[in-house]
Amino acid sequence: MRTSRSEEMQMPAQAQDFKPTRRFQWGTVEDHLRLSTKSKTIRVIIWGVILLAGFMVPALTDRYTLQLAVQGATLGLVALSVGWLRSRTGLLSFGHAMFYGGSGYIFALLIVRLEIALPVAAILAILCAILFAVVVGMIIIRASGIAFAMLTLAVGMLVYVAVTQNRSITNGFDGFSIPLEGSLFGIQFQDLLNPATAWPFIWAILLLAIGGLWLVGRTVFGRELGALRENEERARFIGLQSFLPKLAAFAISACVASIAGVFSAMNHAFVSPDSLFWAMSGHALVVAVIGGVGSVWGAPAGAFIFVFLQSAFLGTSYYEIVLGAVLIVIVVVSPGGLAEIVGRAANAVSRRMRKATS
Amino acid sequence: MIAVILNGLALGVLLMVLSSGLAMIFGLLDVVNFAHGAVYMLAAYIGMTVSQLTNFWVALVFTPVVFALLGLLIDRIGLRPLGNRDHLDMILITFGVTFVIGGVILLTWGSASFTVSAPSLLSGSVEIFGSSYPTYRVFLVVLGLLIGLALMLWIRFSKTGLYVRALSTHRTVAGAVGVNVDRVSGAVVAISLGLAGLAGVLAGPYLSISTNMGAEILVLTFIVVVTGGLGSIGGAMIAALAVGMLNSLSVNFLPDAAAYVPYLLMFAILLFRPRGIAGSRTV
Repeated sequence: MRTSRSEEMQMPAQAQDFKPTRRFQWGTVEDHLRLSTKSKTIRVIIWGVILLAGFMVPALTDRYTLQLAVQGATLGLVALSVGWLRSRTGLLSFGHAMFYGGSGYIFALLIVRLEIALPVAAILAILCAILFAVVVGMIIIRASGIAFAMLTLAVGMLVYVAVTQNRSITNGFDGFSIPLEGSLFGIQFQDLLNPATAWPFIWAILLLAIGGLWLVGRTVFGRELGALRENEERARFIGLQSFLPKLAAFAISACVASIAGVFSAMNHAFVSPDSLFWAMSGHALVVAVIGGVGSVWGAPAGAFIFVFLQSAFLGTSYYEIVLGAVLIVIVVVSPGGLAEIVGRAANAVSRRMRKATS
Repeated sequence: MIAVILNGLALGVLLMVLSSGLAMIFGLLDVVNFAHGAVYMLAAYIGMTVSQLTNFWVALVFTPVVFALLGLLIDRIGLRPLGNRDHLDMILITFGVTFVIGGVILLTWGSASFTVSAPSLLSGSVEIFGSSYPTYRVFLVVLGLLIGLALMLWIRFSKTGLYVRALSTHRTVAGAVGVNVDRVSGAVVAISLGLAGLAGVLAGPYLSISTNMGAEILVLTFIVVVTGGLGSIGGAMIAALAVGMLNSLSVNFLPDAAAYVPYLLMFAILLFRPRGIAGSRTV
């Protein structure tokens, strides 16, 4: 526990050990109980509207904007997985590109080298990524907090190095293209290159993932994860396992990221080592934190904002500076991200309205 | 064989200078500086420009001093007000700094990579035990080892060094018995960034300068710090030399596996000794 350094000088040693560290509050029991039936109905309606509005998007925008939206949703899925891991287990992953890019590569290699049918390859690639996450997790998940963050970065770069070094298999830094042949349920895989075809799929996947991860968070398993996040030692004292739940959470998170990876490979019909580079993991984590990991929609929202910001600054490096600066400001001022700011604003508005009516 | 050892030492001392700075900040302030690689990269670029404008020796003195002063400023306006923040928040903030520095470098110098030639005094090669070796690398090894030795002596025998050890053992108690916590922390941040600045300038003629150099060295530095034991400066120094040596040996004898060797070392250490070579706290 850290305390303010200037105060430390004046305070006796014992007193400050009880001073609480300022940190982001993940939501108390009262917060959950306060959710009245009325606000639940409102929430369901809002999510329904978002869901339907998403499917209307292709009719309203041009192809370029739609492609950006597809990219935003793909990055959003990775950001969601990183953000969910952060919010549920408190672990910061700087290496989710190994699942995102890794599954894309496995998918591409299965099709190109082993000539496996596309849907089978997609499922196998996701399973391989999950298996990889379990193996990596078994080594690094015991390392808590800081070391975990450093280790994910190192393992992520290890995968990047492995892929770029083995030129004969992976074509090194150049990447390679994937032939998209065949069809399923009347959809030609070739058409996934067109954002108008790809969008409904990625939108549905994104919302399913948001809903699925939200549900997982509300199960007993999710609550156990919360207990481990808050105080692993105490959670163990009351008889909770710590290793397996964290490993499972890591694998679930990897699963979501690898779905995004396979989809991205299909959408581009191409894989490149950029998808494995640390900058990919970094962007996913940063947009998740900026969007807000405390809320399920925060991370994807951050991803959409990032992708459109990036295209607005196209060709310059300003967006990197803006991204870094925004991250610093958000962490310092509002650790819950944009979601926390929006949540506070909504609370303030509803309080005013309640006061006005009563 | 001499060349292999010297190559290992050259990378080893570079990692040692960087990772001891990283370990010191972590030991004293509990901050893992994810921007350490980016700071080193920025120093390499600035060192290159200063060398072009004046000469290498001016850059070698000027850049670390500027970075040390910058470190004092960052400690005063950045780290001290944020002293009570969560570890992971600090990691995210320093990670944000990485992006800002990366963007600034792309805007100022572009994405091309540069090679810097060694100053004329160190440009040739020397005979060491019958084998010829570039003078600049010998200079790098000697200077790096001297810095490591000086740092070790400073921490062991000076009064400030005693305070540094006290603070990394128990910050609160050290403050309670009258150590000026703020001043020591400021000094450590300044030294750490100054060392990163020095490493950046030294790396210029040794490695090529590119926008990836920060991330590459950061990963190696993390491997060193985790292997050496989080927060242990001595452990980090030993691990740095070990990683440098192993890297050089594997490049020479197992060229196919060379890229993976540092990672394998780290996994082996983590599996059999999770707290690292000299770590006192569990990671």
